[in-house]
Amino acid sequence: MGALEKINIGIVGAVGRGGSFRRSVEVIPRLRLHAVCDLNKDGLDKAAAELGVTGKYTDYTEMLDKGGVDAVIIGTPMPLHIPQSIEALKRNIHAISEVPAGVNLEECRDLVMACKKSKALYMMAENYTYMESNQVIKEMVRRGEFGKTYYAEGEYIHELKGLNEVTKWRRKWQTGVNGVTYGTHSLGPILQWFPGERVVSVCGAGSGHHYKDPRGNYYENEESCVMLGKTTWGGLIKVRVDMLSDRPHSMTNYQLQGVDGCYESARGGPGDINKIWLRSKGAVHEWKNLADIAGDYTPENWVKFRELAQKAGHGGGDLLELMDFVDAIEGVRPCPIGVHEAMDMTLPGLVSQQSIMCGGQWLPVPDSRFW
Amino acid sequence: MAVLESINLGIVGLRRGAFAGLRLDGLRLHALCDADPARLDKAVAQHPGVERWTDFNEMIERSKLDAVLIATPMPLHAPQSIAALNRGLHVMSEVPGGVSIEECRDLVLACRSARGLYMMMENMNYFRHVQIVTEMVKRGMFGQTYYAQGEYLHELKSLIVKTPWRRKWAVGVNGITYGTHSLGPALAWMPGDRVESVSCAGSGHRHADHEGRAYEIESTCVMLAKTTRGSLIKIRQDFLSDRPSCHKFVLQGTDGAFETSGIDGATSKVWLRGRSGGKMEWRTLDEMADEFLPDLWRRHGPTAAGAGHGGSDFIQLADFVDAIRQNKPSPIGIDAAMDMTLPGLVSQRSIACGGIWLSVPDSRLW
Repeated sequence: MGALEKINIGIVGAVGRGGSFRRSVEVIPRLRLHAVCDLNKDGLDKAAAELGVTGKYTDYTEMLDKGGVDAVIIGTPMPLHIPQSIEALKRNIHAISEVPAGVNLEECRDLVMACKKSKALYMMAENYTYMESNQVIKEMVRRGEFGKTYYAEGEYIHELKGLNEVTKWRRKWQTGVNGVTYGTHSLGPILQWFPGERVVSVCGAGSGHHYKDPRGNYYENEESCVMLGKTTWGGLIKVRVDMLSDRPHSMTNYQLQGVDGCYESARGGPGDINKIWLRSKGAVHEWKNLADIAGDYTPENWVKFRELAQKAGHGGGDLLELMDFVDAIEGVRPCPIGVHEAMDMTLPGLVSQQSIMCGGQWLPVPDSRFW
Repeated sequence: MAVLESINLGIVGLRRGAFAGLRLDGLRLHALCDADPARLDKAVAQHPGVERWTDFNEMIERSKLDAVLIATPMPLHAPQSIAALNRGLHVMSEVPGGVSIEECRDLVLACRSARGLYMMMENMNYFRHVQIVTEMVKRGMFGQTYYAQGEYLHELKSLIVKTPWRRKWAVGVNGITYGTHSLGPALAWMPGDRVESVSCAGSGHRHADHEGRAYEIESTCVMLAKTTRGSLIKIRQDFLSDRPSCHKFVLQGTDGAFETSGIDGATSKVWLRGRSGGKMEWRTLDEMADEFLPDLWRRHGPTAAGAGHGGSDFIQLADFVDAIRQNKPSPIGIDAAMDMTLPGLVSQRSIACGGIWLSVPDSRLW
């Protein structure tokens, strides 16, 4: 591909991706929305219109073979992420996949093999790593403000029993499996705060089964699943995922502890704020509002991002991800969430599922770099 | 034991001096005891007429006491409680109940044959916000509770230098060493249940004391606890990490959720299906206080204000005195005390074995 040629994007699982996504793509000169694919034929026409594309497909491999796409965005249900990523990579088509990367260890291995053989790029779209507060903390860690980080917590609390009945794949893949099934939104940002480390072993435990679906069957997933993970250098990470308990949502709970700093995100209550203490800002152990000091910690990509975000007319969302994606394709910067980072964020959850089946036994998490 | 008009109290361990200053009907400060003569003199000077002792065993043998309050360092709690119980005294003990499973067993056996009441003073259970949530649980507002978190985060590296017993007992042992402040409320919110097994892991050894020796406890320790009914409790303890202090709780039931949050965990928020008007929105705990503040707090709240630890020091004392004078069971008797204490002790074994899940004994079977 020539340096200045457009990257033609195809989207599979297009129904639901709306105008805001289109606006993000439009402000990045190298990207062009080119084709859409969805099994849902009625929704497909509407999606094509909203996204401003003419290429419409109900068959994914047809889109890959005939659609003239250079890259695909995979926004289909969880069990399709890896099969569809592999189909793209086999054809040297870049793939950005929704989270989690995959639903079992065997297919994760297949993905890593496919990436090795392919000339194309794989990226996992863990968009919570692109939240402003998470990016600021990441920059602070990078600059040494936290010292060595050694403890973190992430919680994804998002009651969606009703949604399980609308997007039925969730009833199988999110609440129909025990253990952590949707942990990358928590683990993703956290792992970016532990540079050079990954989770090496996990223990999974749950809160029991207290809810039944409309057919009267208990959800296989215990409502609150907690995964403890030990990191490469002995740190500890706790992830809690709860998609069943009745309570207000709180999908972005984070905590980080380092030798020289501590962060606690807001948890959605009255008067709660993102709280931070850094030794460099004062020895006394008092919270500051993250917003008050975040300005000093703008990540390098952000000046360009803010210009584009203004043009796109909205706060960010897909934009930073797409910028990173283009930079990776152009060889400007490495992809921040390539296949191994995606595995680091995904495998612990899969192993937690095995652990919880074995009474919470601590189990090792394979390192995909050795596959 | 005949119902007492007035209970003669002896306090041993005066560093936590505030207890001596509490005034309560039916309780009379009779004796003060401390191994440190300077500290003892200072306390005695503030309470003219009170007996002065430097030796606990002498005090319980010779002083005309009805009850003792044991506020000495952790390793003395069980032995001193046992000695006092064996002499027929009522005992209020600081937390935790004991520092080893073996001495806990001795304490349990002493309680079985004791004439006096034993109470472990888990003051967190008496905090206003904890009591409101306990009342809500009691009235079924949470439905079936199944998940709870307690996090006790209190950096005290300089305090450890001043109180050397902490260097050994709070941070010189790996695992949860001070878990009752978290487990107390969590178990109060899961009535009829107890912790059956635990797994404990830490964040690595990240701190050294002022002499350069690494603390034996990992800086943050997390204990996962499964209950007999399959519920899950997560406890976190951290005395070493540099950060603002806080004591946080989370509770989830089929019909309600509760979290402390905000700065210092000072704002408590709650969602109750029965009070939500069909909306999935947090309300502050304060909004519900009128309806759910328990009797104990309504009665004693005004007097308690100004007493230590949010008034809880006073209220738990009042609760104990009530139990003695009205011949009621201890508000936090030995089995409840063990339910709060034993998981931490077992967690210390778990973390030494890479976090394996270990059973927690049930003191009721001892």
